[in-house]
Amino acid sequence: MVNLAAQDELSLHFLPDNLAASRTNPSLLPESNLVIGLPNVGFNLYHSSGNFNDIFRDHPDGGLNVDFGNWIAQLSPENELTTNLEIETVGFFLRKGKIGIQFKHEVRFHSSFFYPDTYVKLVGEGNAQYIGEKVNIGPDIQQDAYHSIALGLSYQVNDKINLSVRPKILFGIGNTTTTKKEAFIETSNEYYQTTITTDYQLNSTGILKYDVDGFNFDFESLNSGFLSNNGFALDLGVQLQPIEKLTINLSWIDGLAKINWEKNARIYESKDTKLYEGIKIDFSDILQGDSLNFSNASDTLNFDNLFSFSARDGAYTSELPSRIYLGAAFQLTKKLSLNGLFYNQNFRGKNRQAYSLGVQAQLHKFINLGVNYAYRFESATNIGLNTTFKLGPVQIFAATDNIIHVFQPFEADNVNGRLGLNLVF
Amino acid sequence: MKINIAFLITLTIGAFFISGCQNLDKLDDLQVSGIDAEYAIPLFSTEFEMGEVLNNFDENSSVFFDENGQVILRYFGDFTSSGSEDIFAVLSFINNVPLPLADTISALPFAAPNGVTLDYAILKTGGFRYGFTSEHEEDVTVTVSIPSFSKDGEIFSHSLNTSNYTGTLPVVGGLLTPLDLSGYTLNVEEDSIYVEFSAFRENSGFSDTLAGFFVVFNDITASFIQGYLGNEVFEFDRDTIEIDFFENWTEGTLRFEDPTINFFVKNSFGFPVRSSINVLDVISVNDEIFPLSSPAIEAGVDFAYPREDEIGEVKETNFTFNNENSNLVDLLEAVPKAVDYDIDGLTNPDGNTAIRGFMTDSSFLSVQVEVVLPVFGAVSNYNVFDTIKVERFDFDVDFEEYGEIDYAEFKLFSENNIPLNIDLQLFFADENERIIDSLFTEITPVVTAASVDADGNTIEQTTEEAFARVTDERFEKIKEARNLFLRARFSTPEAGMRSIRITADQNVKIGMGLKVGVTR
Repeated sequence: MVNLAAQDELSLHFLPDNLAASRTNPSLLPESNLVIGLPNVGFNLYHSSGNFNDIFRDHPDGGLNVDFGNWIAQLSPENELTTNLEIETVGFFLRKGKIGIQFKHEVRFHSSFFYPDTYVKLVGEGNAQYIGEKVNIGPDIQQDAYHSIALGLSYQVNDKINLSVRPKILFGIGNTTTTKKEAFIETSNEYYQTTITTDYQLNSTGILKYDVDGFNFDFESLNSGFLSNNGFALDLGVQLQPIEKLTINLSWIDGLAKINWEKNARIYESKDTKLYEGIKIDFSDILQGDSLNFSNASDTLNFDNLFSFSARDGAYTSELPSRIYLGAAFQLTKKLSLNGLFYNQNFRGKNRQAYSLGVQAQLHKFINLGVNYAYRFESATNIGLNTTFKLGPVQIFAATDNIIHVFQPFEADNVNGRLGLNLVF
Repeated sequence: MKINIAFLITLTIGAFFISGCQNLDKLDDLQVSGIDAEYAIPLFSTEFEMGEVLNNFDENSSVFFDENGQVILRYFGDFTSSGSEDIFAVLSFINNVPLPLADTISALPFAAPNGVTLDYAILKTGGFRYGFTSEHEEDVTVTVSIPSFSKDGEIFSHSLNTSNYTGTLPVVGGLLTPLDLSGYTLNVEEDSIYVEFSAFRENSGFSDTLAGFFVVFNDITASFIQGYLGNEVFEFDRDTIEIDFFENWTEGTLRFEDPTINFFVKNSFGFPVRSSINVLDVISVNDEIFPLSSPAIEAGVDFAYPREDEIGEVKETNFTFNNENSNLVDLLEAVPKAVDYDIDGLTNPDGNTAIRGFMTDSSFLSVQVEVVLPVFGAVSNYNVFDTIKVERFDFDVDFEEYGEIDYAEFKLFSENNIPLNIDLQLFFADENERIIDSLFTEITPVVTAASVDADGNTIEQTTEEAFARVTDERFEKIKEARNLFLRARFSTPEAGMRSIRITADQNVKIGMGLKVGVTR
């Protein structure tokens, strides 16, 4: 099953009295009536098949080696490399009576690269292992960069129910989306003639540039600003307190999220079948003294020949992952609570779940600390940590779903965290 | 394979986003390790049909295909012809010989040589003169008639008035300018030409004899003669039919199931002619001479001839030596390079004078010999070529960017619809043609014959694979080769014991691939 990791931020959900927690549920609001959110940064990295040090080794001459042997040993049939970077520039929350208003702006960058193991094995182990088979090496790519401006409204129905809605307008900066991903290589069992069949389509706005030399990144074009490539998303949240010590939260984040890419939108398509049979020899010509030159035979292996892209202008729409948080908190004591969370992410019809269980403790009036244990990314070894320091109106917070990996990022296959500031009045 | 590493790794850079880490600075100088790969690439493929190969291979247009596409090797001898000059010479004996007449009616003997007895001849050319002496003391008018010559029902006759008696005797006269006999029919009854003359004495008023009278015929030729034309030999030039198809043969056995040597005779002479084969030999590629034996050679072959009511027609006689009436199949197992033959024609071979034949001035007897070898048979260990040299051979396949080569394995693959096994050996040589290495340790079967039915026709395709593994050191040497030598050996199924048919549409596809083991 393919996991598409958006920023799950399980630990962030448990932050008490913190505007940042409303990222996971717009009804998770601070107790203060006025909070100004200063910049906070969240990041996430996940690679399903090994960490940085598993793949990159120091080269004796100083540089790095890509260790294909070690990389291949950790591959699954389908593999994922995902990064997220979210920079919230400014936000605020204002409560008046039962109504609360919240606003925030952030820049989000998301990249997911799904690749079959054959993509790496063909380089590291060669194509001979696949003789007689038809293997797909086409990667699946989803990259998005966009501004998000959210304006939310919450309503305290009564002391037990709070409802929130937070529509967001999205302004696309750049995108790359794979809509077709077939790139088959078949090496025949006869004399290794190779058939390459592609039905591969990349939609891209402002990230990739394609010319005669192939694809290259074009980050300089990421300057679309707020005037084009618009989109929409919706956050919904509810918080219930059926009994005094128990709260239940349910939210839908980035529902219906999509961006319409029009400005600088290009569609790159490769639909072709190529057969490499080596040199076609006319036996009669050979008998009459024609030449026989095999010096270019290894060109069969050149992936530059894999795709034959054509480019055209074309508007398209990209969807973004939506998330559901279902959490509960039980106040064990005045300063200690027990929390649980179920998380589901949906993208392109596929779901990924995570589960977390933790405790949150108000250690001091300045310090709150939470520890949780989570099952995420098909791993049961996630110890998350969140903490808040409040000095006067300044609230500093940090959260991560795996505290060990944060301090050993190159030994980790998943790393995430968020760090930020609020002013609480 | 070379992936667009930059593309993949750049994504990785974006993925592993933690700023300020020293390791990320090193991503600008990425190298590759941990490669233990085996790559398989196609080197070449070739596909050909037998018809195409044979047409390109044959320089002398000796390859043909019948209506079923079966390959036939066909070689023709020179066309040779003999005309009527020899026989018409029988009339020449009377030319330019003064023939005295003893009496006013004389029968000049007409005895043709070589046993020829004429019934009649139609003259094409000829002249007639006569001379006389007169002892009569007066002018005489001499009349000559030749009952043996007639034209349009009229007997040849000529009168000459001397009117020149001057008192001197004898009076000599005659016709010195030849009279044209062309178109006259010469009837030679009782082997004689009858000539009559009379001398009319002008003053006396009566016919008398002359003291002397002679006739001369000249340039007598005929456009037609009939009779018993005797025993003659039509001699044709000895000829050799070159069979070049096997000129590069070096070893192996060969067997044709259905070879033939065909004689095509055309005859417009109106009398029996029988073959006289003086020489009919098969010469092998080793210059051994094998005479063909057949009852037909000893007995001779009677050629068809036109009858009396078929004057002007040409009769054809086709005669074939094959595996049923000769030892031709056995002789050809020696691998032929030529067929040598010398044939004559014997006229009236039985000496039957009752057969009254004819000939015209355009009569002819022609012979052409053909050797036909349908490619239906068996071969064993048949080396067609000693070696084929491929110049300008470049095998410097570049794998450097993929790593160090540990070994290489060549694979030959074939799909064969031709009922021939092919064994192959490749020699790699440097620019000085010095052998560096060979693909196999010895000549190796690489193509398996297609299956055939009882009649030798292909019924099922076969596939075959052959492998040759070389070390990295050998592979590096082979990459330096600049010439390639091929040796090919053919055989039919069942170790050359099974006869097969080769047709134009039979094809074979051969491909070669290469596997290399690379580490980096």
